[in-house]
Amino acid sequence: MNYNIKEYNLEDNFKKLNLKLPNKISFFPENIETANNKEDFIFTESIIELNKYFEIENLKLDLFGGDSELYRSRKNADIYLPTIFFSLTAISQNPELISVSLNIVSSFLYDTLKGQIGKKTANIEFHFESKEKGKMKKINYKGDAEGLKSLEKIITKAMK
Amino acid sequence: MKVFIENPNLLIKEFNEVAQIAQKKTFITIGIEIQKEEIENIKNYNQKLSKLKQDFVHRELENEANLIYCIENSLLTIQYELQMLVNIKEDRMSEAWGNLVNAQVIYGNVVSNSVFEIESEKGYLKRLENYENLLFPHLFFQSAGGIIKKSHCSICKEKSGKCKHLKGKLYNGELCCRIITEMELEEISYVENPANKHCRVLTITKNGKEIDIMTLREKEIKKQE
Repeated sequence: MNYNIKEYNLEDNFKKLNLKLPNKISFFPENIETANNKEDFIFTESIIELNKYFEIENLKLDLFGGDSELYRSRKNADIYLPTIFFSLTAISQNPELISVSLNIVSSFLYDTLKGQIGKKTANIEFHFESKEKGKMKKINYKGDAEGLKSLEKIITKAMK
Repeated sequence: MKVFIENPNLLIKEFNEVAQIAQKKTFITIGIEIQKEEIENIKNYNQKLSKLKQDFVHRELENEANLIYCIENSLLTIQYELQMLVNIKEDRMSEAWGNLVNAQVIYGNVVSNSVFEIESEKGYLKRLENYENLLFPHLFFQSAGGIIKKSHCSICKEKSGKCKHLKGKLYNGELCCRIITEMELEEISYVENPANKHCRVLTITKNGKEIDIMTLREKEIKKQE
């Protein structure tokens, strides 16, 4: 399992975008740190299928900034998954959300990789609010579906 | 084939027999004329299956239609495997590669739609992977990336994300795909592990000569008259 955690600040960007942090778990666009307005938001292509997996578990996630038709596609054998944002409010109300979400992503990966030849790596980023006011953190993960499940403890610890 | 509408288990039995006969001919030592004949046998059998699938679709028997898809495409995989062996014997290496990739992709779709994990499926996928490593040189590939601006579902034609159909899954005997109708190209990269193995580097230039990567022969440049 290969991951790293970074702290960052999105406050100025949110002001520029005239958007507030969502209080639910949501998908973030790939270019949240650089986009000038929400119409420029580009989401990862796999969001289309992954959201259907969330929906099956009665957990439809919103796309931050509203619906989009712009999806980045990479014709590479690695799997690029969309950025998922965990809000402090959502996790306080339902601490199970992290493990449920990781299980959904993991079964999506399992289904996507079934029948494929060769080793494939998944790339995904999780963003979350830390309990320290105004602080945001992100975890970058590169690895297989199994390793993904063990991120739960790491995310929960980092949110404290 | 009408009997299969009443009892799909008989169809599975017949498929196993047809596949077993065909797979006995998927060796490089088998006579080329025998392999060509088997390719025709599979084509003819698949034509009958196609009609049977239409019948199941018409009767709205989705599971049965999906079963035919899997049987049809498993046989198509063997057909491509045989075609690859024939191509190699005929010194048509580029076509041989193309047919191997077709076999890998098509069988991958069958495996990803299987309800159960069957050991023989993994074994056959491994066989298709082994061909790649044993029969062909190390190849380099290209991979394109870009922004999808317009796309829709192949099953219901709704905009991507607006329906419940899952890409790569079967619906009434049909594989769900995403149809991209507008895309802005961002980059083309050289990669070792591509999504599409058809997208490969064909030639290299060495000492001013264009060399075919697959055969190491100098590529003939057609003169314009």
